Formats: sequence, structure tokens, C-alpha cells
Amino acid sequence: MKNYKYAISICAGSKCLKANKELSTLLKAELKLAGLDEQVKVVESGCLGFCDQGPVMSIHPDNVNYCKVKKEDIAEIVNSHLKNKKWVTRLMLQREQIANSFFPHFGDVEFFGKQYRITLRNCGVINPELIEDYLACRGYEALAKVLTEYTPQRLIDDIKLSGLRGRGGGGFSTGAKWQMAHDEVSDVKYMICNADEGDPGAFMDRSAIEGDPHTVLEGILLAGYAVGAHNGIVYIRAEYPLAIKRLNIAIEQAKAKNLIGKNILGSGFDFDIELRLGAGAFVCGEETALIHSIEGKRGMPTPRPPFPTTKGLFGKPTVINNVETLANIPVIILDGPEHFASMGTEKSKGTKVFALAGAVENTGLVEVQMGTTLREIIFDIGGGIRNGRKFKAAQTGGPSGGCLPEQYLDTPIDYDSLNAAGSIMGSGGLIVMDEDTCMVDVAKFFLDFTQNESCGKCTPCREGTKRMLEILIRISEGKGVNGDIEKLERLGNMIKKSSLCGLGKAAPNPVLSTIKQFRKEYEAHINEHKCPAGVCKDLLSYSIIKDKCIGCGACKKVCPSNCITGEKKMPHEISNLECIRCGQCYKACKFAAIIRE
Amino acid sequence: MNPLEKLKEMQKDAQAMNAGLREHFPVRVYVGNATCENAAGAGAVYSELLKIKEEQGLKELYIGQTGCSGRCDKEPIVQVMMEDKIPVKYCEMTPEKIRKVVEQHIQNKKIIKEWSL
Repeated sequence: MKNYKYAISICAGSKCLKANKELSTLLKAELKLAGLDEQVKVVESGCLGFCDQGPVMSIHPDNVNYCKVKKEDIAEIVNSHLKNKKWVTRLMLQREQIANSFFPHFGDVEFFGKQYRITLRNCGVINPELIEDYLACRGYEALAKVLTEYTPQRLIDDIKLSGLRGRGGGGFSTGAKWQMAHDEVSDVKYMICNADEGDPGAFMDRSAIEGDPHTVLEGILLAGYAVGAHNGIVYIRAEYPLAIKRLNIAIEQAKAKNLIGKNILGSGFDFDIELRLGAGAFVCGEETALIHSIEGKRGMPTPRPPFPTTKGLFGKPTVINNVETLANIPVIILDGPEHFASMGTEKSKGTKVFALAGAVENTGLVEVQMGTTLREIIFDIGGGIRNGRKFKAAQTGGPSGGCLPEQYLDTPIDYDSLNAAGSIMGSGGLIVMDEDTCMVDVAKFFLDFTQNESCGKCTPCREGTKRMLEILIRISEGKGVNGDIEKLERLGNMIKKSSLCGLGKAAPNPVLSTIKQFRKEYEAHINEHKCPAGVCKDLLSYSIIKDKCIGCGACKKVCPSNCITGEKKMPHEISNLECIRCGQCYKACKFAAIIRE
Repeated sequence: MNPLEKLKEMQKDAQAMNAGLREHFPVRVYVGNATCENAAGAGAVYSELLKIKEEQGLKELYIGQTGCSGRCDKEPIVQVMMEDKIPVKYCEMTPEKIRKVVEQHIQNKKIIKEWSL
């Protein structure tokens, strides 16, 4: 192998291919002219993902990306960069920036092209169990920079300037929260990282910790420095054994390098981080319940104020931040708060990680700028609805959120627009539903979850959700009566008003939002005893159209209750008495001879 | 030395370590290793790779692990990096498939397009 000094990759994705052929010929000629052709290798790479900036030319190992390169620029790049090691700044793309440094490693443009990765920038790139990998990606540099140059107040001001809001769901300004804790006078303060991710179908925090635990630790250290805490606690559920293992390894490694512990990097700042394992109660994601859980008490919320920033863990000022919030902090410091604030919408800055799940082609973890529309997430990144079905609704915010039907597809997503649409941002669960989803069933599923997870402190939440669930079960069984919808609405609004914590305040949301957006479906269940999506078993009946049935026997073969009869090559029949409405025959029939009503 | 200078030293060491690794192992394979990856069977792929390395005495091959990159429906994902080549990601890997990847991609330098992301 030749010993090349540089490698230049030119994007040869389909979009830029034509323009780049010329560029690469020109580049090779120019290199020869400069006598560098033995030292520089020109590679044609796949699409690098920033198509709007193309043609893009990346120079390794400097990791410099030149964008919108024109023919006239080639000579300058060769002479200035390669010969004299002076980078051509005017063409450079995001050199100092660590956000979104993710792309050069990946060619999957369809999925990653529209994403902008800040908190997940290292996930899937570095080895999470090696601190050196993180250090090589400018890891802990933000911490060192802050310890060297910043006062706590300047750090808080920077975070305020960035406009970062809590990513756990509430959306409270992180800078303001830190300021409140910073202003408290106390000998002991605590910094807690909330990794008690409880929404069904959400896995943002788990993946972030598993893929890049040091980012979260660095965020905790910075937050601790800002508010004047010396003790950090990661409250994580015991159901995440791998994440716990990775965190423990990361803490050990950081301690060995004097990045956690006494007199960090000789700055005089002491900070220690430990883990507390939660048993996985949903309510313990709520600040005050979480604090009680750490204290060894039963995980139940208490009224606020006093806010935890005044009187939190063991009665001391405490800041609680979500994993994703903290993972943003190092990037804000290194790329500058202005850069962070330049992303997103007017009131919601930066990016948000979503756990994209449900009926989309590409399920997975996506990080997009605030203000991206649901359509872009679902149809561009997610690749559209699976099996060519039609989009029905997107559920955001997990069991505390709501469903957004088609007319909201083009709404830019941020905290406020989702609130206005009757849902919430939540921690980032995003479940896509197609036309085969019954909204009553969805509401029932989420309410069943919150009803189980209610801690029982407030009667409306404890009893009210139970009653709501009973009504929903009744409706799905075809026993709904007139007035049930109104009853659900009245009960839901009452629970929202009279519950202490976020769990109860948000528990009726899935029901209320589906009633608001899909009232007709509820009415069909109650008045016509029909489930339009064909999900609620008790409302279905299957029958065979005699003219269409060719008597192949496929349905008979799959029927688990043996209720289909008929001779070979003769029309078959379903006995409704024994049918358990599993729908197997409906799926198995290749001649559309079975109808579901 | 102030904290920042101290850290820069650490970063330099880490980068040197990574560069050394690149020099030492011109071929590097990274297997996803997160809860989702493991559930999809990444563990079996990883141990198969270790076995292949041992069996065939592939000294130039580095086998590493990374976290989840977000493509949950395509897991297990294996990334193959070779010096001066575009990194390639293979998806939905199995022990049998990874054997083929080593044979085709790493030894015969032929990318198996239909398995790549």
C-alpha cells in the first residue's frame, strides 16, 4: 500500500455524480501539476448526506469538508490546503462544530439525511466502553473549558442564551432551572439525572446512555458546576442492565482520569457521581416522586412549591434534568450557544430525539431539528407507512400525549405547536398508526397503562382512570350507551384539573384527544356496534361470500377453532357461534372471499 | 497546566491511540452492541466474528463494538471499515451472513451490495 498523506473523498451520490466527475478529473490534474499525486488519494464516496451543500469534498485525515466546490476552487484547495496546510475557510463546512459530526461515517441518506444529530452524535460511532474513543471526539473538552474559563454564572447565562428546554417532556427552561438552584444558599446541593424512562415504546434515553454514556456524565458534571453541587445521582431503572453497566464502566474510567472525583483536572472542583436504581414505576419519572424514591421512601409525588430547586433531595436544593437535556450541554458549550439557538423554532431551540415506532417502514431512533414536520419524520426519514397502507394518526408523548390526525402532518413540531394541537412533546415517543388501528383501542391501551401506574395518592387519578377504563372497555365490547362519550370527557377534564402530578394531569389525554379527533369512531362503536378499523373483536363478524370462494381450504387450515366447514372446491362457511374472531382466515384468503364487518 | 491543557493532552493521547489502532489494524469491523442490537442477535454475530478471526488467523482484523445507531429495524448492524475505502454498513446480520461478509468483502474486497444499508 502506498503511503498517502491525504485522502480526498468526492461525493459520487447520484445527485452530484455528474458535476463531480469533472471536479475529480480536474483535481487529479491539479494534483499532478503540484506534484502531489503520489501523496494524495482521490476516492469517490457515497453520498455524504449534505446534498444541499453539494458538491462536497472531504479531506482526511483533517476531517475538513469543503462544500459547494466549484471548478475554480480546486486549484486553491490544492495549493492552500494540501501544499501549505492552510485551510480554505470560505468553503469550509462546520469545521469546529461537533454537532452533526456524525454524517461522514454513514451513507444511509434516506434515513440520516434529514436528521441533525447533537445528543446522538457519537451513538453507533464510538465504542461506549472506551473513554479514549469519547476523548478523541472532543470529549470532556467542554468540561475542561468551563473549569478553566467560566464562572458558574457565565455557564448558566450561556445555557439560557441557547434556549435549551427540558427534554423530559415539560419543556421548562434549563437555564432558568439552574439559576434557581444556583441562587439558593446551601452547603449541600444535588444534581440528579433522570433516566427513569417509562413511556411504553420509548427508548431514547436508553440508547443515548448505551451508545455514549460519557456525554451524559459530562452534562451532569457541567450542571453540577453551574449550580454548585458536588454530588450527582443518575436515577435509572433497573430494567436497563446494559445502560447501567455502561454507566458504571464510564464512571470508573472517568474517575481514573480525574474527570470525576476530587479536584477535577486540578481545578479545585469536586464532584462525584453515583447510580440509584429505580424499580421502574412510571410515577417515579415525576420529580418529587423520584426524589422520594431516592430517599428510600415510597415513590409518590408531593405538592410543588417548594420546588426541588429550593427543597429537594434530603431537603437540599436539587436540580433534576433529563438524559437528553444533559447530553446537549457539552455541545452547547463547544459549538457556542448561538449555534444551538440558530436551530429550531422561535421558542423551541435545538433538536429532539424521537423513538419512531409503529407502522412505518424504518423504525428507529431519529434526531431532528425542532420545527421539522411530522410528514418529514414519518414519510422521509421513516420511509412512509408500512405495506403501502394509509396514514391515520401519529401518537406523541406516550401515555400522557395525544393523537394527531392527517391535518397536523405539516405542523412544525415543537413544544408549543404540539400543545396547541392537543398533544404534548413528551419525552419523544412517536408511534405511527395506519388505518388498521382502532382509536378506542389505542385510548384503552394507554389508559390501562396509566391506570396501572397511578400511585393512588389522588382519588380522581386513582378512581377516575379506573372508571374511564371501564367505560372504554364497555364501548369496545359493543355495550356502550348514549352519553358515554360525554361522560368520558367530563371525567377526563375533572381528573386533569384535580390531580397533583403530571401523571394524573395527563392520563386522560389519549382519551380526550382521540375523542376530539376521531369522535365518529367512538360513535360507530356505541351506536352501530361496529369497529371501523376492524380491531375490537367483540364487534366483528366474519363471513364468506359464496360467489368468490373457490374452496381452496386455506382458511380452514389456519382456523384455530375449527369453525370453518366445506367440501374441497365448494364454497366454505364460517360458524359464527364457534368463531373466536382471530382474523386468521381473513388474512389467509387470497381471493378476498372473506368479509369482516 | 490548567484543566483545558491537561485535557488536550488526554485527547491527544486518545487520538494517538486511535491512530495507532488504525495503523495496526487496516481492517476494522464494528458490531452494534446495545439492548436492541443484542435482542436482534448481535451477540451471536460478534462471537462468530471472534471465532472466524481465531480460525483463520486474521491478525489485521480488529473487532470492536459500538452503541445503537438508530436503525432498529435493520439490526444487527455491522460496520466494515478498511483504510482508504468507504465504510460499509451491513444490516440484518446473522452468523452465517457475517462469514460471507468476511470472505467476500474483507478477503476478496467485494462489497455485498444487497446486504448493505
